[in-house]
Amino acid sequence: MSLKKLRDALYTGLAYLSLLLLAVPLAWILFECIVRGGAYILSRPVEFFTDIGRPPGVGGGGIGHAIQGSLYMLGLALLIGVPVGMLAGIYMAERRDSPIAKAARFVSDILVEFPTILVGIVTYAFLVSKVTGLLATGPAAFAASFALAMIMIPIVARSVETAFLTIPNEVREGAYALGLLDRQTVFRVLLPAVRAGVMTAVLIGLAKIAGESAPIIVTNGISNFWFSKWTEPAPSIPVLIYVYGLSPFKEWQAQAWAASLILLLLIMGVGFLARRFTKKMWTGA
Amino acid sequence: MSDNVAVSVRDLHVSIDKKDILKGISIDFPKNAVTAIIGPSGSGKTMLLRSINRLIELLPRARVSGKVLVRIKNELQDAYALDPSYLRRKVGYVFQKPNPFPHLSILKNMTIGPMLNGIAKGKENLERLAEEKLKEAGLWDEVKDRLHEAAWKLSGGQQQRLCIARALALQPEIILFDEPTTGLDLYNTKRIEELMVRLKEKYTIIAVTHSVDQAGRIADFIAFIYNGKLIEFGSAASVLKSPANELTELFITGRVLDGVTA
Repeated sequence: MSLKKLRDALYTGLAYLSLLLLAVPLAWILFECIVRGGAYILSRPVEFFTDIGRPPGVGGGGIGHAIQGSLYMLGLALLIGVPVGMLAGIYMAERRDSPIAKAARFVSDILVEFPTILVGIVTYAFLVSKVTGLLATGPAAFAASFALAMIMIPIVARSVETAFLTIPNEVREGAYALGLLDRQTVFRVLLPAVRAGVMTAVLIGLAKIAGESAPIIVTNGISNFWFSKWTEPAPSIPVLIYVYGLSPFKEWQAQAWAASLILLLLIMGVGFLARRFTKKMWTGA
Repeated sequence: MSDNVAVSVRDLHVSIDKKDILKGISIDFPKNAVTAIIGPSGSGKTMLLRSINRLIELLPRARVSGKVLVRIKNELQDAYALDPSYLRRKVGYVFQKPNPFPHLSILKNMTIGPMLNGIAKGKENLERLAEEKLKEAGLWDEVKDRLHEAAWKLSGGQQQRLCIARALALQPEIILFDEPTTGLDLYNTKRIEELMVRLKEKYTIIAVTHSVDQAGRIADFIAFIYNGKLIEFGSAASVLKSPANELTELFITGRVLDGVTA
């Protein structure tokens, strides 16, 4: 074998090895979740998704309340985060040289890397702290949504910006040459052109916040009840995993694994969807 | 001012990032005629064209001074005092590279302008307008059975004719063409040239081209721009056969202009 071929084989081998190193942790976590949590789900396939948690020793119960709470929290977070992130991203792309766009880009880049627990603490202090909060009512679900939205906004903004920047400038000029106004150009021509990219942006943002627990614990606290009011703590899947996982009770631990499996599948599903959209980010030739 | 003038440019200066692109251009473009703007690359032809319908304002660092009057509804009006959206509808623009909205259907490309500008209302009226203008641009027979296909599936020449039809659908009075046949084959170039000549009956055509031959084929009048200045303007025959300026002669005979200052 020539030296060239040997070197080629070596690099190919290294590439496969790094791929393996990347895939092993994912496969391992998934495997653990299936082994340790799968059995619990199979033993109560309906109850697990619809029932509330039970005290240790009683047996049974599910994570229905946490699924419900997560849906509420993520729903409100999307409601705040998607429009704000989208508009910011569009502005950064369409007015890219303006001082505001530059500032927004700078702030987004910092916020993307910002420790999420700090976002939670800031949100807590501003919105619901008994001492400094503007809506001082104590830990509340709406504050968690707000914190999740804050985490999501820079991710959505930057991804939407990237999507808009893939649009050739001729398309933009074509719209203005037809006498279209700024908002008509953006919302009637450009946005439809990159709707797949915007969808991807939203899904990436969603995937990022779906698994967050620290900002929820800080702003919303912990709840083991059904969601009742926006101004009170609500349950959520990530926090349930944290609480159940650290408990000394076998059945709670099994449910934590089962909930982890659900969360993982959810995030992976969102990721796959996002990938599918990315493939047709720009529909033009 | 003469009734025969469609666009009147007076002492037009354009600079981008403090670099002077146009250095005081004054010219009257005749109505219902094809005027070709010729000149070497970088002489400011496209910027002159873009100053007329204010597309130049999309460049945030461009500075424009001087006056541009455009004849709309048979009255010369200050282009820079008009609503830019209205101005651009009345003064259409066809780009160098065909730029249909690639994600929209052929039909939607035709109707989106009239719809958003309120020129025609209702599906039926919009589709009738689209058909009429596609016919005017000589594209109808080729696309009538595929109106709902995406525009990017058309060939380059068809895309360019779609862009012309799209501009016509806004009922303009003047149409600006920026080297519209760049990158097209001879057959498509010929079709678009014939179309431009035909369109002058209803519209005023101002076309930038770097091809002297093309100017000779389509133009009634020729303006030669060099280094941001208007060097010569006159009937196509006189400019091509007996240019008054030495620079014009150098350019139309294909000799080098580099280093010569106007």
